Amino acid sequence: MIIYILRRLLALIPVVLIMSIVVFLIIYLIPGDPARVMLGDGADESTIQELRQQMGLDYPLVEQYGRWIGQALQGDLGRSFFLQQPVSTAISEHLAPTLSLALFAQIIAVLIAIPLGVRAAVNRGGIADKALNAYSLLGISVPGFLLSLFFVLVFAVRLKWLPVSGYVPIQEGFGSFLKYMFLPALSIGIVMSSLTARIVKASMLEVLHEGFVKTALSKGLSQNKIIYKHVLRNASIPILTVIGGSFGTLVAGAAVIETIFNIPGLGQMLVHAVERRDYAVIQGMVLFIAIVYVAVNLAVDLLYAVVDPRIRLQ
Amino acid sequence: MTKVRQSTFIILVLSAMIFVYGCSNNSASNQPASSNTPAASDAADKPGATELNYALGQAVSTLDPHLSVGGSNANVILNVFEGLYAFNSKLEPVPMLAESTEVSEDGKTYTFHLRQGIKFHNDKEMKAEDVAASLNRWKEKAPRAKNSFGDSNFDVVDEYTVALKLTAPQNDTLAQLSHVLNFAAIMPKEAVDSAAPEGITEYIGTGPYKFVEWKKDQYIDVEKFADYQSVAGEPDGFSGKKEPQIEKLHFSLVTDTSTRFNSFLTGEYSLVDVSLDNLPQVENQPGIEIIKSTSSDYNLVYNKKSPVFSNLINRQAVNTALNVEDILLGTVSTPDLFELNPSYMSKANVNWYSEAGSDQYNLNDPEKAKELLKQSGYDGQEIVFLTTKDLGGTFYNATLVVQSQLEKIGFKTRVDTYDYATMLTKRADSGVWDIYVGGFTVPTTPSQLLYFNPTYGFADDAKLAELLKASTSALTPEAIKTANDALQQYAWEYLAVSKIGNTFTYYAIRDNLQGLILYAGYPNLGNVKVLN
Repeated sequence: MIIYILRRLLALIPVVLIMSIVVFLIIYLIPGDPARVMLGDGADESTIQELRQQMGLDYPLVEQYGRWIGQALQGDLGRSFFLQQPVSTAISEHLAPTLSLALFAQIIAVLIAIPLGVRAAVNRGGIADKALNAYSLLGISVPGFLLSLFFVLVFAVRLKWLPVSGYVPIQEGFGSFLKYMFLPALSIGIVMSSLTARIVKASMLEVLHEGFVKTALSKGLSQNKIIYKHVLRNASIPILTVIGGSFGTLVAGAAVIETIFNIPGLGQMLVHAVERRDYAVIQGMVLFIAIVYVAVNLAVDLLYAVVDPRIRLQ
Repeated sequence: MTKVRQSTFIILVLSAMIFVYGCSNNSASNQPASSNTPAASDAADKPGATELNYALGQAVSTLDPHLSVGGSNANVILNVFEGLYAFNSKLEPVPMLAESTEVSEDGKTYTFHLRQGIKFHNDKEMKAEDVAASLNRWKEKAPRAKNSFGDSNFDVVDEYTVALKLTAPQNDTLAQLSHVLNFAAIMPKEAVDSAAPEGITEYIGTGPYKFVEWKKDQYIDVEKFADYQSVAGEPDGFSGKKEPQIEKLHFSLVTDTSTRFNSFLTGEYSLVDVSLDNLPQVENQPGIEIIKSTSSDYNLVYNKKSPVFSNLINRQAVNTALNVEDILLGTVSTPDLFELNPSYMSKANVNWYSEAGSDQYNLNDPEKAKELLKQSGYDGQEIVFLTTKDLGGTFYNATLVVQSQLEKIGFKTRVDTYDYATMLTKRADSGVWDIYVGGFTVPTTPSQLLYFNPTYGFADDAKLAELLKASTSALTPEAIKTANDALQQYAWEYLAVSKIGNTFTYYAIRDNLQGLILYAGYPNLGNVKVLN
């Protein structure tokens, strides 16, 4: 197992390297000059060139990349001229809101998707199945931002039950944290659950027709025990894959939802960085996102072995 | 039977939700209130809240006043820092940190006498060395100051006196010191000396609020400065007395327009910019006042180095074809939010507004424009409009209307649309565009007219440069007016740009917010009070 993990971590190095080179080239090849953005309309060319020099933008591209990757390997992701702070500090400051949102949304998604998917599979063609079809169609076809705006209009503006936007860290009170996080998490959770519920249903249906289910039934096991202990466990590999993938996407930053609910997360930070051509932040974020994806996939792979002992990691 | 019960349950839940929604209080923006007039007689006696939440629409890129080019930065900076002078509502410079100023007869020496006993937020007294260090940094860092004062220095004369010796008269010196963008703020010499290349790291001013915390891209907190010493005089623009009646100002970054507006509806903010779509929700609502504040100065900029528009007759053809009312209507969607104005200065600007050359404004004569195109020998070369959909899409909308008007007279056109950062880079390249239509920060003196400068649209005309210099070096009010009229008259002949007009933005203000002054969209929060 340890060798497997080490191998996966080693495999991360070329992935991150290739990704960083590609992103570095893309962001430097697109037009747009951070010095010009910073200085605004009235700046003359000499002032702009002076700032470019101070920002290290006048070095050849290869040298700029070499400097950056050299520092990154030592744990230094560079410094943002716009934020006037190290990129690693900026990422850590914006990570907590994004992580909170991702976890909360994931919990909501799982709480909706698993019971709904299981009921739909067990009572195929019944009301739960029809409800799942309608729900997943709605969840997949209605964009998350539209759902968010609807929730804001109903629960914040009209009913005034919840705030329109903002973020309160969990350490400042769980109640306040929940109050601010509920609508954004629900908006994402509904969209995520619609896809997950369909996967739950499909996986369950596949396993429900296997022989061991009939054996368990003939042995007199209760339906719930068969469904939740045996069938769901055997059906969980594709479900874990979907959950892992969506969680990875969320940790990389749900920029639109974060903007609508004004959550100071990684998604918002990345959008601002691209607007300003804040190269150091974009590079640092891409590196971070790559690591998150690999880490989440690794965690999912390890979970495969936990839920299904037949899987041996070699 | 089970299925029927489940269906009934679902229907009941849905019905209940719709019922609750339908019966909910629909008067989020209808909080009853007696008045929203800042001068309401009983307002002063009512107890006030200690905190004001203020939503910023754009990320704050810097709190360094010398480097700041507006946007949300200025909302914070103008309440923390102060300059020697400040504009009143007529754009006249009024002393702020200066007690008085003497100008030599030849107009080349300005001697600033400072107010004594003024404290910085770090409790240090403001003295001449701080003022000189601040203004010398300002003229190095701020492009417009560099243009005007690049060769001169602010020198310490004595503890409370600073002198500026110019190589040529610069009659807009006090106006330059008052301008809110690239703000000539005064800060302690130590803050200047320790400034990093990307800006100062200590935000210490003399303003009514002192800096507390800046969580980048999230919020900025400032608090009332207990030792603030106000000037006398009624508040007017950014001049006059400042007596804040709140303890804390919390600036939150809320970039999404609908989020800002919805938060205003729920009462979280007392002031919000209002789009036309949202206006019906707050218009004519008790307790809410709608005001409009100057937003932008719209111009069509010609690339004078482009093959087509290096030819003056082609520029004249475009100018003759323009129907500026249609362009402005297409930009802001309602006649209430624009103003026709042939001058390069706003009508409120008592010192520099001029109507010289205005017979060339808003000609709207496509037939004559076609003749001019024939005369120039325009060969059907495609002209490129450079624009962006960022900044609310108004530049893009204006561009499309101009494009349609120019196609009608025979121009072959193309619109290149980029994000704002890319557009800025492209605009600096004379080889990739012909026309740029956009809004500018409302200028206050001719030396701030970027498009008369060779770096913006590539104006390169000796007479224009000479007239520009004459307008800022004239000494008497009569001579200044004559020179300014001559400059504007010639500007309409040379056509560095075609002036389109001025636009405004709606703001909704709750009547519990008292004492707010909006100057070109920037808030003077020096006298605000929030009623409970």
